[in-house]
Amino acid sequence: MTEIGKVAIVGVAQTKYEEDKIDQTYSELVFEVVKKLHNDLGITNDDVGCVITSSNDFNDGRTIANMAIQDAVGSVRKAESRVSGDGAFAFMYGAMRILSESFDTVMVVSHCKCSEVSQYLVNNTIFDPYYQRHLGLDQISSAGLMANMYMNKYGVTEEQAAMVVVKNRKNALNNPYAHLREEISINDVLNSKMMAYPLKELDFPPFSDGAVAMLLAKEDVAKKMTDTPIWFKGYGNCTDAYYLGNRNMTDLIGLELAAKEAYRMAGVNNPRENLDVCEVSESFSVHELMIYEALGLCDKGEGGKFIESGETEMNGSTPVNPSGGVLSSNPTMANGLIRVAEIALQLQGKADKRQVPNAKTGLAYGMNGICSQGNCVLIFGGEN
Amino acid sequence: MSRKKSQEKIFEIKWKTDLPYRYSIGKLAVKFFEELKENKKIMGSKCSKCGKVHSPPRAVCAECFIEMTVEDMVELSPRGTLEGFTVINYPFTDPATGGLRPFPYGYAIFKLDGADTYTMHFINETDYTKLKVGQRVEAVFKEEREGNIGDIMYYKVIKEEK
Ligand SMILES: [Zn+2]
Repeated sequence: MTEIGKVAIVGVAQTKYEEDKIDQTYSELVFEVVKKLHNDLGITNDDVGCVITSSNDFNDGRTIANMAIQDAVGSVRKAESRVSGDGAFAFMYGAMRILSESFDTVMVVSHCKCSEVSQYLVNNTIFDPYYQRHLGLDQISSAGLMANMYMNKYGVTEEQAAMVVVKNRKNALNNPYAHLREEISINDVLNSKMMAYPLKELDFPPFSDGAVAMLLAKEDVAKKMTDTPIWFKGYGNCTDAYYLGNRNMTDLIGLELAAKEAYRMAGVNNPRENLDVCEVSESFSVHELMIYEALGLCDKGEGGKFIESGETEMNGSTPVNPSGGVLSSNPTMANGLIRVAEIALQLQGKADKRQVPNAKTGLAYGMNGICSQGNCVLIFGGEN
Repeated sequence: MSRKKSQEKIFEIKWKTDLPYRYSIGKLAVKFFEELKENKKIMGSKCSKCGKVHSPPRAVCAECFIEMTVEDMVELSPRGTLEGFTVINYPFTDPATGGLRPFPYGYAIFKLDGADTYTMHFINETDYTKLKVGQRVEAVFKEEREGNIGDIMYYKVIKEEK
């Protein structure tokens, strides 16, 4: 059997993320990134063994929505499967198709056009239909409750939360694919309209349209296709309780367990020292502080002080979200696969103006559902 | 199916699809809503192994992987202790009516006396400076109840030591 560490990302492609890509269908977005990847790698669809996509039927407005992109993704009369969820899980599914020695190459694609349906309504349907849905819970109200409980328990301030937004939006200036590319100040965040106390409008991401694709290959094929294969080193997956009332709302336990498993597999003993760069799916400002803690970048309750230390800035010891993160671009279902793509670019040394110098080991975190319910932690390494 | 970009005229095809469901809500939920409607009682379910009381009632205790039936349902106090809150300040399309709910409105997460899990519901306070973790809250029921979660209109803060 192929060992973990022998599966590589050989190339990635992204669209620009924008508020309303009215000129393109989601199928056309997918074609744009798949075609670009073919051209970059000098391959054709015949070189692709298997296709794994990630999307959400409620967002796409039809069931078996992967069939709507079948032509664009090149899966007609091919092994094809879809993850109805975040793109990081699709990466894992694709990697497993190579680890099991079923295929030499796998195309992994995720897309989302948030502009085509109310994201509040889609998110409300996550909740059970008789106890919770009619009380209007969605990603915003849940985030407000979680942020209030976390900040109250650990004494984290709204200013510290705002620093996350300022950092990520500043990083996005260096990312040509990012949706929001405008520098903002802590006061801009604090003075923006209250959405769900203690969270303001700018504590939340925009909604974006976009797509991302990558090609995975087994070791010998990967080395022929590129000089900079990025190796898959570790994986951890953990689902926390679905019902928010059954969760510890002040610590991301599911993410903590997923990270532990991924670190064990990749031989990460000290995340602060071993990880050169992280790309995480932060659904709101305070969430990123909680993610620092769950990933072991700082101690529990220290997320606020950790952002103040500057260690997660571009010039810090562990830059988090050099791309600008979800707070800058948020095509929801694609967020996890974008994190993977950005880590691949970092480790390839191809991240241009957002490059973290000498990045050798990176972490990507993808998330399903509300408030870190489903967690997928992936570790990658460059140069083998 | 699209918004207008500047003054450009957009080609649009409009339609509306109804996709109604008839969910089986399970015996525990039937009992929950019956007790709520007839007797203004809030019920939970208690695991026979670990004793954890779930609110709202759940059919399986995830910790023990044990089934809970209607026999395992216990009455909870309509009072509880506030664990967290938010004030929602954006429009929310009410899934029950399709109309917009008026905003702002308060939202609370609390533990009902006798329950081990958090419950979430509206709270009748929109000034977040008046809400504090640890405050006591109490359910306010509708006079004409219909057997749905809206029979609890909201929770209110009460002056009481636990
Ligand atoms: Zn139990």
